[in-house]
Amino acid sequence: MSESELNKRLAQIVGAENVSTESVDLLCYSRDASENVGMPDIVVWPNNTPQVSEIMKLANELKVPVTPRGAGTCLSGGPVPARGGVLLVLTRMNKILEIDITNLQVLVECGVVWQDLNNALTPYKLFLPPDPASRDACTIGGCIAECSGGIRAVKYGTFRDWALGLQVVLPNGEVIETGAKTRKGVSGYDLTRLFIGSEGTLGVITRTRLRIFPLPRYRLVMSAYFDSMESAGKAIFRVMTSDLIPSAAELMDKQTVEAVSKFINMKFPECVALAIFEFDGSSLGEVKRRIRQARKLCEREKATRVDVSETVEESDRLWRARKSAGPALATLKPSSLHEDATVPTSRIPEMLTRIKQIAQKHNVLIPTFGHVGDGNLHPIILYDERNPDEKKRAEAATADIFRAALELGGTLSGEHGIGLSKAPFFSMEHSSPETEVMRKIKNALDPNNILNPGKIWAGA
Amino acid sequence: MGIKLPEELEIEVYRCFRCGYCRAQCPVFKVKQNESWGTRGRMILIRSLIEGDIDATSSVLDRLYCCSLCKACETSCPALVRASDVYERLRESLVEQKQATLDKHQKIAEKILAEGNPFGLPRAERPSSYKRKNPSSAEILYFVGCVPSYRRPSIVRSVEKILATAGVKYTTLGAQELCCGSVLMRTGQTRTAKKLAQQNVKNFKELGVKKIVTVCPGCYLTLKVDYPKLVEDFPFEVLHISNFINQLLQTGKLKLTKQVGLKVTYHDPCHIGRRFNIYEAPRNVLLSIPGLKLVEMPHNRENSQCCGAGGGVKAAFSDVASNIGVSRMEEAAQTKADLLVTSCPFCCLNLDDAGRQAQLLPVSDLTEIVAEAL
Repeated sequence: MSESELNKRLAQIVGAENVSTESVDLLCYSRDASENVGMPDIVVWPNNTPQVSEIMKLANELKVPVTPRGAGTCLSGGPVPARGGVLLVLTRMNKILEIDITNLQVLVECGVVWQDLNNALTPYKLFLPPDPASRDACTIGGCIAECSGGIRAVKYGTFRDWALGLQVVLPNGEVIETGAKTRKGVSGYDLTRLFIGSEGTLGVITRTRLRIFPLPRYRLVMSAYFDSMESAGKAIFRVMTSDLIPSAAELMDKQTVEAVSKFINMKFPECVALAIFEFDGSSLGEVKRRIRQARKLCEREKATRVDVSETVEESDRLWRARKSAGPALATLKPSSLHEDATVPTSRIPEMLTRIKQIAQKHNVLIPTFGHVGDGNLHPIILYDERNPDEKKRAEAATADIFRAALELGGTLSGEHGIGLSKAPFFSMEHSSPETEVMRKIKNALDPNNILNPGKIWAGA
Repeated sequence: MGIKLPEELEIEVYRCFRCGYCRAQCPVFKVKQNESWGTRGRMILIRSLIEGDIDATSSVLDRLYCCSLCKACETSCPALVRASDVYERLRESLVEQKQATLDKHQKIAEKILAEGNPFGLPRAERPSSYKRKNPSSAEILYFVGCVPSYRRPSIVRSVEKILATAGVKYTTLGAQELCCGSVLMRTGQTRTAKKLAQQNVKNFKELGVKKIVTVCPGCYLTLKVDYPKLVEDFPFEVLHISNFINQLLQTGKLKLTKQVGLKVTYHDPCHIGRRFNIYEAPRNVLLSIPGLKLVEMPHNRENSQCCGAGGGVKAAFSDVASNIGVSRMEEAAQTKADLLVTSCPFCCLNLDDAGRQAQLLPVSDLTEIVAEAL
């Protein structure tokens, strides 16, 4: 069948107005928020699950690659069509199908935007806790496919911990429903968790049933300044191993604080490291008690200054500062690699020291910030891609960071996924027999390797 | 050969790291639901244009010109990319370097050159809706604008009534008034705009005025920001009518006495809102009207949603302008307000059209409702 025949049949499935082969559209759909590029041959916008199923049947029959995409805010190349073919844009399937306040769960289509869902839950004083930074734009389907986390994952976990069940279109077009409506469930293999974080390689997630949670009445933010990374790391470790249970525990190093300060024109006290904690709860007295305890722990680790935000505006300002860390650093050099290597919480101080040594060894700038409360660091490797030597050093430093994280018992990716960006390093973390199990699962579901090929492990 | 942008704006384009947060803001993207019609897509296209990887084909131009320059994307951009400045300057570069513009925008320029207004209506008819005032002692020029003059004369009558009641000595240019050139500045036709600026400024100087009051935020932006760059000497203070009326109320020169028992919602025009942070003055004016109740839409002030008309969009992409307008009017209708008030004749026009089309609430300019309360 010719390419135009494929396009014709896709148009029959979704309607001619919902496909495009215009070069401007192909170009704009060739990227996500990572450095990866891959040009699709056709962009398709289905409106419902039966259409997705028909598209998969057709693609499977013709052995044409299909790459699912939500809002394209991914940081690892997940929705970038590495082998061309059909780019399946799922954002028009964006209905909130059910808000079940009795059972504290929602049923949503994959294209629902995170913020829209939470806006719909606010009147019920409920929320969906995992909060990726891209919350205003990212879709729930994308969050499931990438197993997204965010700042509050330290207390509430990632999407893995909130999904009860999925509707998935398999590569052959069959539609399955995984999981159950119940909080508990051990009926058969946990297929829900198999698809969560599978980066769109095993099936197209079209619907999700998620648990939701009562919105805490109070949230207070505390910032603690330190004159060494080590003492900051120790303070965070102390808070994390106490019974204080912060809803966020973030760290910014000196370079990050300085870059943010310049970027958003906000003054910070002199420091080598800034730790930001958030505590939430239903009683103000209890939240304040935990803040006081956390302050003591920070002071014991020689914090030079500790501030508690008294108002929502002050807290918002601090979060805005933290959220601008990535972009602020990205302005320091023309190119940057945003990593999310993650280590067990107890190894944070060591990991921070290792990153510093790696930066010195390769003579590159690696400012670091991130969700240290759950060991999820975001070292940003800054370089100028026009300088081949610097680029080489940056890549070597990146490999060393992955190596260090793995040596400390960590993982390549805490929340961004492997995608295309980290596929070359996959074998550093996963043994051949383990990868072989993954290959077999992939092959069982997608024998023709048409769904998001080229992702996760090298040679996929 | 790629398109050239000034260094400081090229950096803006390269600073975009495609996070996609602007998807939640861009009114055109919300209507089209296609990356190439949103800010992130436009940045990808502009980068490719700079690098010479793509040509300025009509599909590319459509994407680059279908932006109302509302600046909503800039409120959520973590990289602080000044997208609207990039688009304006890029459009200028496209016109200068590639002779690439949209037919509909070029036709507007022709009409303005011929008759002094973007509608191509006879120059002599401009002051037909109002009496030309020209006291020699006037310090203030009321710059009427093309939309009120030709499309919504009730705004002109309202402004006249307000100024007369407050005892403001003002003058108008009558048939001598020329289009300020806003639509040309927004669509990259800077050379033509410069000609208008030179002629308008010459006329301003002959009147001997010191202050210029505009009702249209497009005129306000053009006179306040663009004119000082387009002409050598621009010794005028430019005021928007919402600020001016607010001053008149605060100094006691104007009193609103008549009851207007309406529930209204206020739409922030992008060119005075996000551009100049004029949010409170028009609201203060509305709250000074006896009996009037003000309710806010969820998208207000810096989060306001564009009406869809600006930046040359209504002229070249009327369906997009209309769809965006309807979605804004639907938001207004949800507040259960009796009336939507805005402080921009062009927003007024587009939202009124949209409101009629979707059979939603009526639309007034701020000056019209103030005149009613006199």
